[in-house]
Amino acid sequence: MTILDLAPSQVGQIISLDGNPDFNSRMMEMGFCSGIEIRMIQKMPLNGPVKVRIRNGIVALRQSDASHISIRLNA
Amino acid sequence: MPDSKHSIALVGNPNSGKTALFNILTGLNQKVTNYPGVTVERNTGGARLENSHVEVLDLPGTYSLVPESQDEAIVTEEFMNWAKDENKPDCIVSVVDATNLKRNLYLTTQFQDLGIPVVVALNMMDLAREKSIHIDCEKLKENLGVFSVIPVSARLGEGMEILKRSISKAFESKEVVPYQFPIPEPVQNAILPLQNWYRTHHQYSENLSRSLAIRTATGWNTNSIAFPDHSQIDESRIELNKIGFPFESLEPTLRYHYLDQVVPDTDIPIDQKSRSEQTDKILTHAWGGPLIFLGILTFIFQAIFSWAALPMDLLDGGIATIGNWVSARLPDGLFRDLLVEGIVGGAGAILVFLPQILILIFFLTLLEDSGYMARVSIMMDKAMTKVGLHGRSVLPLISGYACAIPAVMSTRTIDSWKERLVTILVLPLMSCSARLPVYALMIGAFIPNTTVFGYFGLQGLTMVFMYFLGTITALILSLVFSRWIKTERKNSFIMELPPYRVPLMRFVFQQVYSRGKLFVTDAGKIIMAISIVLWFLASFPKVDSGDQHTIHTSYAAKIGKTIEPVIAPLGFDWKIGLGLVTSFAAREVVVSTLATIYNVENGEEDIVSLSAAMKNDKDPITGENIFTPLVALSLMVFYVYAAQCMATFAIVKRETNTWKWPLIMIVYMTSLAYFGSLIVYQGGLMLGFS
Repeated sequence: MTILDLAPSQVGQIISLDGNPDFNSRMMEMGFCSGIEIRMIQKMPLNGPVKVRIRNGIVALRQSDASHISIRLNA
Repeated sequence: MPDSKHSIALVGNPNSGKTALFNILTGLNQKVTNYPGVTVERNTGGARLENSHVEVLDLPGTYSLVPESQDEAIVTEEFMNWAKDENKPDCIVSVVDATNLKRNLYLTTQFQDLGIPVVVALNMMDLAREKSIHIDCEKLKENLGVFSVIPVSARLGEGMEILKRSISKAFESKEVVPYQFPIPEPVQNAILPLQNWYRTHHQYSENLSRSLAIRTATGWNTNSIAFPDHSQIDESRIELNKIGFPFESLEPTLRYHYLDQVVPDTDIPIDQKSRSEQTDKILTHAWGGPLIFLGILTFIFQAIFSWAALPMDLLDGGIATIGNWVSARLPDGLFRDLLVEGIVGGAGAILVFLPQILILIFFLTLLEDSGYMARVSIMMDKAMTKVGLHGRSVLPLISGYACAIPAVMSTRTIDSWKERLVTILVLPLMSCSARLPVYALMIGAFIPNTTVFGYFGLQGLTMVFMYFLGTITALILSLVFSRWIKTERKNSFIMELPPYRVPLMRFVFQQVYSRGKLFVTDAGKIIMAISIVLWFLASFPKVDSGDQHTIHTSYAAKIGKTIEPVIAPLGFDWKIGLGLVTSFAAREVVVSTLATIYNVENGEEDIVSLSAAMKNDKDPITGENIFTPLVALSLMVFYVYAAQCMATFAIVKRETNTWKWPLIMIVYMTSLAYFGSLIVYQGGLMLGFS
């Protein structure tokens, strides 16, 4: 599953990134590393960007970007 | 040492507060706002520390030295220069957001590789306290091996003296012990050939060579270093994969692993909702959010009209008083005419619009500084993508309402070249503050001050319509341009949302002041020069032929009348034509041009109110009014579209590195202006308006 499968307020843990190399390295530099927890905050309407809480910040990214971040649900 | 001029460089993530710190250190009014990517180029300023004078360099915010957009590339370029010992600063001040420590320190560790003393300014301590984040600075300093870690709050001005003292001390520490973070031995072995290459070919330090080797293996490309043998990189990558380190994530994996070990855990529980998150529930609500945004924009445009009315009247009266006062004191003659008709009349006509421009800038700064503009970007991203733009295009487009020049520069944060180019191309259609005087003059003089639908002022609505016309055309054209320009687009949008903050009024007013000053001095110089030249053209050759006014036989009239046939179908006479010519340098000049012409025409009498003079201006042959509401409308539409700002084209040339795009802009905008006005005027005549 990816970030997009999270409902608002649901928390997951990043497993891996499978976008292009540029995207992957930028996301990792911004702290999207495997094992890090991520919480869905809001999906903007009409398939707009999603807002997530990661580390101590809030990051918005397009759904096409978010679909490249695989997660698993927290037990 | 007598001449020991030191320099420091400020580096940090977007939104870490670098620019706020820069302002406090230098006392400059560099723009600070709560929007990622406000600093898009290198800024320098001077500061006094202890008893020495230092040069301070402010660089764009970036998450790492692997750049994704043009503003970030500046930082990497600077880093590589310092690696070569060129313009190397004596101290790096790494500005770190204390509420998001590890993510911010990632960049800090990259800068440590240079062997320059690093002072960590642990910024936003006020927010950290609010969130109950406690950081042991001494321990953090030891663990990271930086020169010092100083808690500060740039917004509140806290900790600045201690920071300055620490920077001064850093200058004296000549020997910096290079701090090398540990990496697993198999990784070290895999990248050793690359590391050795940097070491031998560039004489970089062990530390820097190792980091550059890691970065190269991770996939970093740079033009500044040509790595000759790509097979060596491939070999290292194969080796890394063998030992279970996917090369694409090598550098972030290593650095974050290290940071996880040495940085105390300051993570806020993942399900704890911040106050900004609560606020966002309303402000970025699915349909409430866009509605609120629309409401805010409407409010701003209403305010521009209603709040500015009084100060504008006062200024107008003041300028007329000055003109009459000067004219009463000075003896008759050329000098008095020049002063009163050319300078006071021309430049004064523009100054009247300063209150409106200041109000506009005030609100735009508030929107950015509060953190709201970042939300607007994500709310609008979907719609923007539909017309070929980008969520990050919203801020440049909205700042285009103030001035296209900084707006064009702020497109540097758009990391996809295609969307950036399209944004730049349509930006000048956003009605900038230089059009305000033109709209305001025409509306004030020719649009009746009545209300429609019982509530809205017709004048205000006309103004909103002009802004709407420019904006909607910009959006339509971006769709056209993005179909036409064949470059590949990069389909990605990642943006950190800063926390909401109550704007610091001190900063807001500083910003308003410096923009206002810029308008008065920069625009003032052009306007003054053109007004003087124009006065000469309008006043000579002097003829004395009874009641015949000089102006109709002047050089200015000759120029204007030459182009009159071309613009007559738009409803413009030669005076407006002359205004179109002079305002090619800057739009607002048309107002001072008309003011100068009418004052010259008016000759010996008192300095005249421009709108009154325009209303009374009659065609000498037919006796009909030159200006009618229809002509005013046609002229406003012309100014919505026309390409009339040299400075914008110069900046577009600089940003796109070719004259091709500015030329395309001039052609398409001029065509739009001409045909737009033609349709309005001829269509209006056909419908029986005048």
